Amino acid sequence: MSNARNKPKRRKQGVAVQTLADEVLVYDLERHRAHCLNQAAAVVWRHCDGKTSVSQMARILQRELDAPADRELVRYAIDRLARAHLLEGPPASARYTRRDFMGRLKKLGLAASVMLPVVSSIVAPAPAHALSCVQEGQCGAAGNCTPCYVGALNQCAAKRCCNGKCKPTPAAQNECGC
Amino acid sequence: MQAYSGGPERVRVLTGRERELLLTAARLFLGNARDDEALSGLSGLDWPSLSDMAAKEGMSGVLALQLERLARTYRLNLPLEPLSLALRGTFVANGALFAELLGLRAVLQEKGIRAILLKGGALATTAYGGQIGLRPLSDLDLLMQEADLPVVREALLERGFRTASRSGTLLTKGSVMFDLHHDLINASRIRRRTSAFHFDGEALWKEAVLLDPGDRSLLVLSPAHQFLHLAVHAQKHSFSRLIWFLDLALVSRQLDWEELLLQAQTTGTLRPVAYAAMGMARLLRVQIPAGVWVTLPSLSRLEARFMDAVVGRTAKEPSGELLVAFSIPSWIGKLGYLLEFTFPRRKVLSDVFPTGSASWFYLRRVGQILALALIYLRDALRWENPVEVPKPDSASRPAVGI
Repeated sequence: MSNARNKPKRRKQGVAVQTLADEVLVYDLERHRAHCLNQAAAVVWRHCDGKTSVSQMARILQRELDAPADRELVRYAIDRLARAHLLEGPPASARYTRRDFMGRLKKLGLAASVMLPVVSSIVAPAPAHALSCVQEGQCGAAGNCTPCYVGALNQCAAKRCCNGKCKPTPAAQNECGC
Repeated sequence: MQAYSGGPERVRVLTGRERELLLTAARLFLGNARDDEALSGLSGLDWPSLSDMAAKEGMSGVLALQLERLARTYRLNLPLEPLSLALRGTFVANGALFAELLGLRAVLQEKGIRAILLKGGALATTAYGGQIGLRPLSDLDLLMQEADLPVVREALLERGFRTASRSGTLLTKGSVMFDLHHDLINASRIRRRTSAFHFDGEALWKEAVLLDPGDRSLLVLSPAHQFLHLAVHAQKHSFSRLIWFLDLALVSRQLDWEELLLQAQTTGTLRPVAYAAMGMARLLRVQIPAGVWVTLPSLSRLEARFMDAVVGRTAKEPSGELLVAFSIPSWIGKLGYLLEFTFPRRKVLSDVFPTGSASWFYLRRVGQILALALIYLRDALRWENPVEVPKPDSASRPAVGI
């Protein structure tokens, strides 16, 4: 087995990482894609340092999640991470399907929801949250140039508070010049 | 929780509980509070109001991070979904910004252009340790030499951006926005701002540090310059977002205060530093060395009143901009600044208000300032402290002059 497959290395260049209590968010800056790694996938990814073997990772996973884990589980996680382009080197050819693995976990009597490594894509939620967007009525308090919306939240990317009103960003229509 | 219906949207009046939890989350992030302070503040909260307030203060990510940690550590069942969504939203939106920056960096390297990443963009990658979901950004501000600006603008246009301002320095691509600067304090709109604040461009570039050791194209300001710039920017917006105090507090950890005060004297930014230090100490319990208070200027009664409003989170947007006048030495200079602020030059107006009437703008500006004066007068006549906040101990509290 090649070293890249047995001792994989996570990508450090071209990614932005946000660590949360139970998950890790990874933004692939080169592909414009955001991923959410659940706890099991995050533990594996964190230990993909090019030095830790799959067997060692299985032991680490078992210890950190306090549940049985084996090499197949780690390989499944690595497969998912590689498919998401979060590991160095070319993605491995597909070996596992989620359905196959769920069946295997059931046979082993493991808590699938906890132990199944999941790497999911994140779809951007309402930009209102992203940019601290306010409703037009709050523009006075929020101040000029704060992202705002009148009806739908998706206006936040294109509108800014301007003297108490929520106006389109282009300067031709916006005396605040945001 | 008090609330009232004031129109089609429910307008919330926030009590101190939500505000106090938000402050505690910021202090926890800085290591200036204990978990039990946050835990004791979790009961009786209006969670939707808390989420709204966190978004308005730019604090959704930091609050979500702290509450998710507390929920996990103490096995609490908290309604964190809106905050968690907000954090993820910030992460994705900022990821899109930094992805475009990555593309622009390649162009900067190829053309041998250097740019300084300013404010939130620099902070998200440095002070917040690259945890880009914590620091909301509306755009990325880049400082460059004036001669390089057209080249960078052209490169962005080639990458699918379009200009979003008459001056051509604001460029957007979907929700991604770049703001290009060649002047740190944006004196092109109000020239007399340079009578107050005067950053030495040569020193800024000389002391700036590389963002990544392997890439000479992108830099960030030195900690002292960064702190001064952040303080001036936050003052301009009346410190209306709590995240700006958190930014300042994080940058202040890298500061040599003696050097900062020297730079503040040179750049005319002692007063913004005084406002920033006072806010950090009172809101976030940041320990400011006692010697710093001695060097910082005494605040006038009006400035002290402004700081009370800032700490109570009720400061109105133009107040800070008006207070820039206090940083201008001469009375004629102060008057000139206030006049230029109130009645911007027609060229500036035609840049930012191309379709509107200048007379109407001037009338409205006078109205805004009168309204602000009335608000402060009303508050002064029936003054009550809007929120209990921790205050620095009396020994380290700055003197308030009259």
